[in-house]
Amino acid sequence: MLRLLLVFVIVLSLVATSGCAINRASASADPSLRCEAIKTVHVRFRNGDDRGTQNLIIEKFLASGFVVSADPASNPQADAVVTYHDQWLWDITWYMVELTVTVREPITDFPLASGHSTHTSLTRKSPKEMVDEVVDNLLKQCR
Amino acid sequence: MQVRIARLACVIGLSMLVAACATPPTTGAMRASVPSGTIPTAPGTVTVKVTGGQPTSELEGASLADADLKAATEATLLHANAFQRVSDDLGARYVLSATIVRVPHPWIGLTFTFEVDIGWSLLDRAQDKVLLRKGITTSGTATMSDAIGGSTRGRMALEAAARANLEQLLRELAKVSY
Repeated sequence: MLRLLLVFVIVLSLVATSGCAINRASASADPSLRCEAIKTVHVRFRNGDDRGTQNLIIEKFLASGFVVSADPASNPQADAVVTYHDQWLWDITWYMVELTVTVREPITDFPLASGHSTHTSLTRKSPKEMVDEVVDNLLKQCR
Repeated sequence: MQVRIARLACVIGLSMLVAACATPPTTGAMRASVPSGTIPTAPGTVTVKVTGGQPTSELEGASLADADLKAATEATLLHANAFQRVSDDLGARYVLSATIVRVPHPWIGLTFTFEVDIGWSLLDRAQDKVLLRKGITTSGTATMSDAIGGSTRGRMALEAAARANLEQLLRELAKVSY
């Protein structure tokens, strides 16, 4: 009984302090964003990405009609650079809790548009669903 | 009974140590020190505009709010003497705009690393010319040796990342020709 109570308190404490029921999807764009000028994008690799997030982002931009290059290859001719930041948590299994994808000017790195999603454990999405949601919301900024 | 209470206290204490709770960053801790070398003083008043920030929330931990970054930026510019004046004057010659990109934050852990990603642009209204346009991403880390409490560690990591970003901004401003 005592062990059960301890487990309950542990779970309750972690839920209370780490925010377990957050669902958010948002995107924003700088007024200087000119989507019609962006045909080719270069997806920069994020150090520490050992779960294939870069590949999912490459596939999503390809499916959205862009010409895509990616690190480690370089493409100084790209119209925009895409960066991302994924955050993972463990809850029985590992899952992507947050993802930000940002479209930047190639030379200045200035953020032209950015999409961000948070889905915590109980409403978790697969990495592909996370990428789809973030990039779709990001590209909606063009319409 | 005492053993049970001690166990409960340990469990709750451990949860507080590893979780990133909510304390907003402070302006003083985010103010950047002036990098070595000379920063030219721009001949006019600057006004600072910030968008894209998120206020700190109890559920999600420390975050960078527009007002917090604006105050820290103004304090940094004043400290560095980068402009003749810093004010909210609508007629200011220079407009320094900051767009905060929302970046995932650490949720739990003993070492917290925050990233701050900001798009900076400096407009000279007198010449109708963009003098600076730069995306700056910086990180800050706080460990158990910095603070025992998770909320304090989270705030310190965020402050360090914002401070590093403002230091980089000053280096970029030093390259601007007025």
